[in-house]
Amino acid sequence: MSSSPAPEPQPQQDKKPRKKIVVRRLDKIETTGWSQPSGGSSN
Amino acid sequence: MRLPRVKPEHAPHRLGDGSVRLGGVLYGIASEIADADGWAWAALTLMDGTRSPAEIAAELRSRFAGLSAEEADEVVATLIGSGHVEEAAPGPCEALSEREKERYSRSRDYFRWVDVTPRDHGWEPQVRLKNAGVLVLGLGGTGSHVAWSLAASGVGRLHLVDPDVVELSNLNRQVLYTEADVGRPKAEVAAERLRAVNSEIEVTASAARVDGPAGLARLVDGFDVLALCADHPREPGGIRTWANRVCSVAGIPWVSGGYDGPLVSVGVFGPGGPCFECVRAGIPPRPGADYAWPGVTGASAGISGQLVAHDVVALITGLMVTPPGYFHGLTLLDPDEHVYAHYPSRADCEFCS
Repeated sequence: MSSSPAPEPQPQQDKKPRKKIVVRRLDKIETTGWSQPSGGSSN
Repeated sequence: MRLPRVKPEHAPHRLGDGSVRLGGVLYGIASEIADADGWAWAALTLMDGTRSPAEIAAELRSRFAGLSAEEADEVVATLIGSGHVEEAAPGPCEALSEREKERYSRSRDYFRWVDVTPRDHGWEPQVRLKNAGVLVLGLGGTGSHVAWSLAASGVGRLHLVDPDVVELSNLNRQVLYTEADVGRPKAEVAAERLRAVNSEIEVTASAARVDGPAGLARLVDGFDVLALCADHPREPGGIRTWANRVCSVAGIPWVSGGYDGPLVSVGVFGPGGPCFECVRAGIPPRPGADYAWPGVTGASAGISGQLVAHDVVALITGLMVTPPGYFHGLTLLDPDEHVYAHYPSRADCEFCS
């Protein structure tokens, strides 16, 4: 009686990782020097 | 959120590397999104107040073949939660009348700008101001500006305290009084003026002189914030020490402002931070730094008062809050010089240790 070897378990196909966006609040160092006076509104 | 719309002050800009900048460049507001796939830019473009979140997500999926339904929903939800988006079809705000909404419309625009918490209708900070009560102690150079600013801002209940009468030499800086008021009690005149500025709020006044911590404790009871604009008796052991001890026990935050000529500063104290006596003890003594001279202009008094008013509004609204236990300010002699003092609680503090 012959027997065939049991099939090797196949690795489960990786599920596509879910991509997402990340809102990153800027650090102080990234804004330092950016807040230049514009004159702005005065009313 | 029914119809999300990017706040006009937070309008998105695409940077050279494909990322998206939101909220301009102001620290505490501005943010960036790495956006190699272009999803965020597309979603923000679609958030113009004419589409529901589900419609925006569906449109994203139609534009980006690789975008799953879950991913599209998450992109939209993330942007809505970022604080850069407002409700274009806000629910009713019944706490404010139509007249109040017109009066405070520019304040609402300001709060929308600095507020990164998603809101139902955007009037929430203004409603907090309406429901708040502030004790303004001292109606001189600093206090007259504080009282005007808080009344104009819509703080619902103001109590004004000052024992003095208006003098001609007050009129170079004390914004609530005129020549016709010389000789009249400041508290009485100030209350009249503020009721004329804003009839929507309750203004009461007293010419009482605060002579110790017990009297201050009675006055401040029932208020949300103390604006301390009196400077006598001076430290050590003076009126700021009284305020520190009374307000600490009562759990009430307090703000104190003033000027030493061109050196203008404000201090914010309250639960969660080192007490006034800790911070004051941390400031290194410097020979000649104890000024106490009377020179002042309308500008220096006004800046100190408006800094106090700003910090009071910040404490009430929960927006832009200076950490408690902080002195900050500026010297008008040097635009480069930012003045601040922030020291931790001291183990040997006579009061709070």
